[in-house]
Amino acid sequence: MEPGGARKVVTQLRRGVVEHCVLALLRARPRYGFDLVRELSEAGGLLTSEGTIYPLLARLRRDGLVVTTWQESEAGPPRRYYALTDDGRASVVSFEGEWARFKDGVDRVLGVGAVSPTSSRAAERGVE
Amino acid sequence: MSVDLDHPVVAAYLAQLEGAAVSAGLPAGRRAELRAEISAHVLDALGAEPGVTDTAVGDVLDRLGPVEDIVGAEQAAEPARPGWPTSGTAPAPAAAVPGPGPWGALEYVALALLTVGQVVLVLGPVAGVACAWASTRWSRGGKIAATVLGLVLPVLLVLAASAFWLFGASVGSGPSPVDVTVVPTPSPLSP
Repeated sequence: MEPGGARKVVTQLRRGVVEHCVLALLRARPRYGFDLVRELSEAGGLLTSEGTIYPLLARLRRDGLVVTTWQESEAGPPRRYYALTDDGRASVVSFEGEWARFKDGVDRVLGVGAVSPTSSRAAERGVE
Repeated sequence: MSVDLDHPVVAAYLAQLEGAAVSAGLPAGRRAELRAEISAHVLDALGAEPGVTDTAVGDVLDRLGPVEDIVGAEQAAEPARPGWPTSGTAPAPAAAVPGPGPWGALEYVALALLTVGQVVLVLGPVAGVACAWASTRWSRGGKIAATVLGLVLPVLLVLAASAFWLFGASVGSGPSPVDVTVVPTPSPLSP
């Protein structure tokens, strides 16, 4: 694998999971776009370009996973709030299970090849 | 410093977004929605800044990302439509392999052979059908229709003409069912 391949993999993973993270954030309460962006950014840069969340939200709406309402804001223009539908909630639950299995599997495989500090020192003594 | 959507840098960004969206063929309704969402985002983000400066405006727009990325994501999220690339930011160049669409020279030659070419018995229609099936622009249904037109239809016409000739000959030799012979009958009042 070329140098920097890990970063590419993580970029692809991020693209794949961000929509489920958005749905997960909507479980607690309806949110507007900037609110979602702020949460995702604080969670470790899940969005590389903040503006791309709006096409994503439009797709979730077309897929029936979220519904939207425009609400007046106390300061500034009206905001579009996104709320989870029953299908959206089911999608999050399904993803949670899949993600847990995926994460456990990757962690297990990474753990198999890991070298602990203790065994590393023992190997060095053996060479001496 | 007060900043709103009339700020030159923000206005330029929104104009770029509109231009990219138009170039990509986004529907007018979706363009308006996208502009409203991005505008609200900019105002929310600037409202969260401790002080609104040109630098802060630049930071907010940098975090939003290039307008091409936003429009590209819109295209990727949109159901495929004719003329839209499935990814990327600009409409795809014309495909190297022509798909269904306007006819090319091959299709016109096929049509000529299948119609006017019928005067060259067998060879004309067969060549026309061959051209039709070589076409990359005609659908399978169109090619089947061309085969019917070029080969099956002439055969059917010949059979129909033969049947008509035979039937017509037999009818012409017998009595006509509409022939009525008027025979004068004597009136009881006549002398």
